[in-house]
Amino acid sequence: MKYLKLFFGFTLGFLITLALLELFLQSAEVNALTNAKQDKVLGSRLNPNSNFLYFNEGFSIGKVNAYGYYGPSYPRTKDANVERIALIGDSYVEGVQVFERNHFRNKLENLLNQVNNSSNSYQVLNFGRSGFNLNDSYCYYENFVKQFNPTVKLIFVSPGDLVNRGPIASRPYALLQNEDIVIDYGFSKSEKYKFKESTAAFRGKSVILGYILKTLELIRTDNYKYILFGKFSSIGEVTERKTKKERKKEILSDITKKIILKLRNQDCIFVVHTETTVNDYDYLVKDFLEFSKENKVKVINFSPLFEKLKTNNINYNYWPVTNKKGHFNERGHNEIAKLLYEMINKSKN
Amino acid sequence: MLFNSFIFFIFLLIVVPLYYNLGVKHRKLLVLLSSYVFYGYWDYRFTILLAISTFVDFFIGRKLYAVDNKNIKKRLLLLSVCVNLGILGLFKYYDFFIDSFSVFAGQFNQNLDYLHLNIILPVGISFYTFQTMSYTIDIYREKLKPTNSIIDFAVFVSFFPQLVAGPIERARNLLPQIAINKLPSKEQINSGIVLIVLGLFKKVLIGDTTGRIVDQVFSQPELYKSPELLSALVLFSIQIYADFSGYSNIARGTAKLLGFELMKNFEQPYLSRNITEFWRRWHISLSSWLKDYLYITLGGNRKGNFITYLNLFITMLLGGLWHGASWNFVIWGGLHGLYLAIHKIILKKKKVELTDYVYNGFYSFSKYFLQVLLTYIIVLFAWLFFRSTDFNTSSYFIEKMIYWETSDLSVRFFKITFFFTVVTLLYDFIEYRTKQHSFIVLIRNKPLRIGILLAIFLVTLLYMFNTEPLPFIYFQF
Repeated sequence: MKYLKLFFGFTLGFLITLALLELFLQSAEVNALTNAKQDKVLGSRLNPNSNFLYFNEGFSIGKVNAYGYYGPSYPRTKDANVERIALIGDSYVEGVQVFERNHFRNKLENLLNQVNNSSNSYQVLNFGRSGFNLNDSYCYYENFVKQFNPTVKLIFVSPGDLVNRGPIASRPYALLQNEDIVIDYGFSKSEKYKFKESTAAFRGKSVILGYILKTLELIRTDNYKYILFGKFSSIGEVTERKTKKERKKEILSDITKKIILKLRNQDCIFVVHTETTVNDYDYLVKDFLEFSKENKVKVINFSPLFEKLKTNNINYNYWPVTNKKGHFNERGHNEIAKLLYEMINKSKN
Repeated sequence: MLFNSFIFFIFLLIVVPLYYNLGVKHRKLLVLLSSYVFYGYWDYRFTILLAISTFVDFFIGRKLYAVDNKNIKKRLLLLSVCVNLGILGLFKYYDFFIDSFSVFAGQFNQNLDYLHLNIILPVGISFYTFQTMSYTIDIYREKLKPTNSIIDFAVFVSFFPQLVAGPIERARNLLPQIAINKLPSKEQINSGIVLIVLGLFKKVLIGDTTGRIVDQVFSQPELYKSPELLSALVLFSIQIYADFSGYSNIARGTAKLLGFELMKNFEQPYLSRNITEFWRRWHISLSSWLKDYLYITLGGNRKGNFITYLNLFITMLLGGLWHGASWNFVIWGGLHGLYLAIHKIILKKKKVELTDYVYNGFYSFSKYFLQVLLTYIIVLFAWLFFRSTDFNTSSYFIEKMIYWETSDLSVRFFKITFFFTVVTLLYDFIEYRTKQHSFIVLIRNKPLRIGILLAIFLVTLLYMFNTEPLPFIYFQF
């Protein structure tokens, strides 16, 4: 009886405090709950109308729209006099490092609608998803983006996105079958997906549980040593890193080439950005540009813009607060919007 | 090492059990060694400065006590002050003054850039130089007998729980404790653990989390709208308080685990009814240091009203400069000096007592509430200058507050600010009512108490594991 009383007291104190802390963490948005949920077709889908708060290089507060993408809630159907531009790609397109009002999606839309002599109006939709490569973008385009009837499709690729990394356990994967592209949805049978699906209800509702799962992931992937031991973590460790030369085994794979050609046939325009970070796969872009030229694929290359910005000492991907280099900062978004605006205008004329 | 890092807790797990198993003499040596390891973790070269300060003040202290000649005493004190302020001046203010003179020299086409030294500021230098200076000044004023043990004095200067961010201890409080060096009582250990857990919660889950927003907004205020800027300013007032008071709690808790009692540094400052009360509740170890060693040295209130006001103003102005080599801190200090002088004029000869508010009907509560709010608003206004990196940022903020523009994110920003405010005030309210920083020890049911503490500690550690730690704001001072 005595021990039961002790156990009861301890559990009561522990659980009530946990509940109060959870309430605080959620209300003060110390860490936002995950804004994606598992989906048997898309792999993961952004929760419509979910709030997010992002901290890493930059900081932003925002909301996923009612249809599960970023920006204003434009419905699937569109009026005939609306030009709809879809932005498809990875975290550079997603751009949660900046507020929506500073994202190039918003700036481009404003520019197009401000200086617009025709009766047409423009809508720019952001379908960017963090971690996507070209294969993922293709699947997302086929399964989701198309439903919104975009007239202009901009597929953003950085060097790493051109690497064919093979199927992964959480997303659909496009593969070649008898020279045709087929999307494989076998991921939904993987253990990882099933685990994520079964824990989604908790993860989506508890910040603390999110911490626990992330902590376990850090431990599992061996990324905890510096966190725990600081400067002493590297003692006795030999760092293994593949050299750039070793990595240069990648080539533009058949499936990647096929995806590029298929997207070309659907009037997609590729936007290449190489100068954001030093990347082990920079050389792949050269192959991609040559392949595109041979096959008349429309490409917008950001390299000249970034070179110009660099020459003028304009930081387009530096984050002073966190002292990190990576995704486009507000200035970068501004310049990209201007460039895309010019390109779209030029193509109209 | 940072208190809000895992390496610090590993360090504690090694030092504390070892400490309990050693004799008095070895315990002192262990604390000394641990303190140098703790400080050297940032940069081992910093420990040289610590050793210089220790040796100079130890020998000057003994000499000061031994000689009777007033002139020699004065010269010795001057030497101690010059060495300490010289180190502080060189590392902290040299480049600032060169910058400031550069503007002036620029008028005559002179470039002083070549005079910059670009030295790294040693962590917590302002804290331990002030602490060692108080030792020699107290001996000069014949309020203190010097210690004969260099080990005791070295522990006093480098005592790791309060080395880098205070509380700025007085020798008359800490040295006798070092000399006896007794093991902690059970109550001290209990209270120490609670202080560490609550301090860590405050520093990490309130201070760091508000700080992430504040840092982003203040770095590029032009990207934000009026409600967002106002939220960031309020969040900064919470951040600096949670960050510093949380850190002080961890310092006091750690000291208690080793059997030492450090002074309280904060007593719910945002519940103050006027600015004088605020300064008795905010950074108490610094404000009392400034009062004892600067305000009183300047003459205090002994030379008539005008000089009293002027002394208050000068003390706070220099107090502002102590925080950092920037004109923004000078403006912040100047504003507080002005507030205090005005309040003294209003008070006339009346003294401000630190009495607790007792509810006595709606009218008295409304009056109390308005007084607290007004005090908070003027403190908040001064925080703007403290946090802004330059005067342009401050004026941009003010402009945005006058020419208000709305934002579609106002509700989200205000909601975040509201919940941080509620938690901070609730925490302070419990401290205020219980008069205990380690108020959880008052819960008599032990398992319940342990359950609460463990939950707080666990969630804080989980957050720390998943997020990069923000350094303590006052490290830069």
